[in-house]
Amino acid sequence: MTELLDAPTILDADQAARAARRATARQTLGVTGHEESEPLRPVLKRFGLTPYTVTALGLLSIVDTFQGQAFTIVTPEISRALGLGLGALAGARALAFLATVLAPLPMAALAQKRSRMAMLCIITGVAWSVITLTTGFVTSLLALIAVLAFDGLSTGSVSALHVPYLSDAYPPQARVRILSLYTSFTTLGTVLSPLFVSLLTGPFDLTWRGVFVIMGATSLGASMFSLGLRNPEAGKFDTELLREEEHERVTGEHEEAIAEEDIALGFFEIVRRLLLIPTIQRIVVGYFVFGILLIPFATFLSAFLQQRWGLSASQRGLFFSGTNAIGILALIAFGSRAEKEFASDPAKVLGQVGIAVGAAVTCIALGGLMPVFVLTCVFFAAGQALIAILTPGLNASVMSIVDARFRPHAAALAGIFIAGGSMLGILLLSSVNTRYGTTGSMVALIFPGVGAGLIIRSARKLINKDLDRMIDEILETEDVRVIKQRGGKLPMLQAKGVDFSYGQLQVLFDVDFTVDQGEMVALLGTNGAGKSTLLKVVSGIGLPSKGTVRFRGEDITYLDAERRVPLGITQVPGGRAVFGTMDVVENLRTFGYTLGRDKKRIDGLIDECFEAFPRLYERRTSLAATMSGGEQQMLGLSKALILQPKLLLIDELSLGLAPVIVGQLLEMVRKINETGTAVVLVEQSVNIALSLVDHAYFMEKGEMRFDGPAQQLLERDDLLRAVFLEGASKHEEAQA
Amino acid sequence: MRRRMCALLLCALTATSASACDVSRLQFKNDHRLSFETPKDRQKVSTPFTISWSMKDFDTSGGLDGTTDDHHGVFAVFVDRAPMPVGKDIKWIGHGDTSCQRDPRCPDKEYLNSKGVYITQDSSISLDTLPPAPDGVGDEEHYVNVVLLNGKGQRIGETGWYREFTSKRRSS
Repeated sequence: MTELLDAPTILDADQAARAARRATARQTLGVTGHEESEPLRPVLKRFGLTPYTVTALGLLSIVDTFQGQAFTIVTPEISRALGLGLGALAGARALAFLATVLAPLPMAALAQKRSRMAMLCIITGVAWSVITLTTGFVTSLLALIAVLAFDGLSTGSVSALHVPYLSDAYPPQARVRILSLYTSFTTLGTVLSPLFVSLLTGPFDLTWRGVFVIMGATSLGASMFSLGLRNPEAGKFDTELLREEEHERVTGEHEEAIAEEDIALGFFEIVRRLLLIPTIQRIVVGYFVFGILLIPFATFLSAFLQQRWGLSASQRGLFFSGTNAIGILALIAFGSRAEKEFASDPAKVLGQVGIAVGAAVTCIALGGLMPVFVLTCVFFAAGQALIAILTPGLNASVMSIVDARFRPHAAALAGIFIAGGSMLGILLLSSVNTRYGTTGSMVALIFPGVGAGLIIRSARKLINKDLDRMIDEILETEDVRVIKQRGGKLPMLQAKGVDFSYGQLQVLFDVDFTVDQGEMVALLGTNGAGKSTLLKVVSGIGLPSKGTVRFRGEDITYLDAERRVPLGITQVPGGRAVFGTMDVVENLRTFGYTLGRDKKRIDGLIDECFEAFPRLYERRTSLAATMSGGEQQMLGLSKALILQPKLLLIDELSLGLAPVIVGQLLEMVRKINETGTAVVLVEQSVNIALSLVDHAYFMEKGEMRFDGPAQQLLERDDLLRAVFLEGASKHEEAQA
Repeated sequence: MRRRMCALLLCALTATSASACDVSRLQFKNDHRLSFETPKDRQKVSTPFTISWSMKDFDTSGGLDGTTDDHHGVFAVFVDRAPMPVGKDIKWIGHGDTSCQRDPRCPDKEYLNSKGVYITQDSSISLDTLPPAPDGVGDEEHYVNVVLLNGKGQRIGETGWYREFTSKRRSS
């Protein structure tokens, strides 16, 4: 064992090695530290790739805009033909919007299995094409709601599919340009769709029904182009490649990455895990605030152009097409420049995107105040160009700091936060519109816009740390895999570099903690040192903001607490291990809940508990709350007898108990340990703890100050004094 | 088995949707028989004013004579509101209004006019007032829809003609 405080050189060497590995890993992930990038074509050629995937998904994104754009333009005609009020149509669109909001997360859950990605992209493309076509045949509000809701579901799913797909299909060296190109396709959709509608309603003289039928058929044709899509290998060019490289470095052998053996995180565990990443936290908040202006902007812009400049529907269509076309030019310029900056430092891209958003809304607000139409056009075009770079800039950043397996979820989260902000924006800015008119609303957009820009820009301070965190996780996972593959010995529990905060208050700082198979360790420290918090992190009640927790080599850091119990981790919380309103037998049955419906087995285990603690048998019909502290601890400890865990975490067993009772309980702990269960004993009483264990940890102010033999700790007055002094002062206080 | 069930369900859904939809009544090409004369598109008006139009290939001389011919009937003018759905008759205007449903004479001319609906054989109507506009600033935005009704007062096809106009905002 290593005594941490006295080994700075070991720490330094470890940190230097870690930094060197991170630097190599960053190169693999395309962050070279130099502001240069290879032209796109040679990059694709080098990796044996073609532009087919981005073109196919780009075409799908173009036709995805058809239904929404057409609906916006021909709403009055639909209202007349179906005899529906504009309020009813607005309600139907709100439902469609709700479907768009709700769709990404379930789609991310479906896409969790990468073997479905291509199929889902094709199916959703065909689905919205058929829906667009079907819209031309609706005859009632109900049917209209149905098609709009289905369109919302299929359209909403795009955010969880296309960007993660492209991030897996192309290498990081081309990611910003590919995502910019894809966004250009989407923007092109918003340019072409109004023109297409104008063409169909003008020269072709079609009604809204004809428009939807022709657009649906065109969309179906474009969807057929996507039939050649094949499932991407998740992280083939980044996270998995990094695993392979680490495998090769450690073993000296080159081979494909070892099959996934970690405990797979469930859908909500992934979402929760992503929301713990500081950069993502900042970006989704930025998206939310940006969302506040997104829908109102589109709505008020139309009204503004109509009221302020008297533009007709077709003139407005031309205006939108023109300003969006400027956005495409901006994206083309942004792609190659941002690629270089991303390679040099990902923080630069986030910083620029933040500034761009703030500048964009300022341009739009100024455009709203201009006395001449040409100047309005110039400012709006500039604003549109700056806004266009937001999506690829943020997508490239987010996709680069999350494991490939989690990308659909990350993309879905972004979509949901934008949609949430949009809903709030509709409410807020409607009242602004009533009071200050359309021009006032346009100017009011500057507030959420600048706010979003500042929030996004602030994420630049976090992205490099999060990139390194991802690299560390991948490298560590691969190292563990190699050790397991070689039959090497792994600790039963290994918590590494754990940080934990209660809100803004950080209570654990880079804590390392290891427990071997069948070992009994004491975790000691002063009151408030972070001992119980560390146990919470191990048992899954608390999730760390940094670091990993591995159980028998498997990463369980973000696994739900209830999923850790069947793995063999059980915690007996200090002084609150029982359900007070239940009697003893009910408590014991509750402890056996995870064992399933095997009543016979549970009854047998309850009998064993009564054998171990006869006092519990005597009080079997008593409510737990009416029992003494010692009896409650006996009942709490019985949880270990019922669940027979591989790792038992006991928090403050002796607190407030008579020495005789403590002796009985400790004897039972010793017996449990003798059966092969590893035990972590959290204690404030140093004497009690060190009488039981050979290996001890000592924590102070959230840091691990000692890791070594129990006997050595007894010799460390500098550490133990704090505990004894605290104990003494408490004693004096009690006497006073 | 599950796939087959899904396929069967999809077929049933498609068949039901198709049967519920009489494609022959749907209109895919624009109908240009009616053109507005006054007001001009987005013209600012002040009451009283006239909404007028010209119509080709539609005979209104018989009025509401009980016939169901698509080329004979009357005009229904809807100010600041959507027209009735296809196939519905004038009575539909009073649907959801229990007092109107209890009265066999309802909807009469007075009732219809109070709802912004005007039935006419002429190709113009005069309006002395406009429906109240939503709160806001700037000029009030208004629109008018004209549809065709047959001799039984039922809406003919999906055809409808639309015109926007504005008026000075009235103080509330």
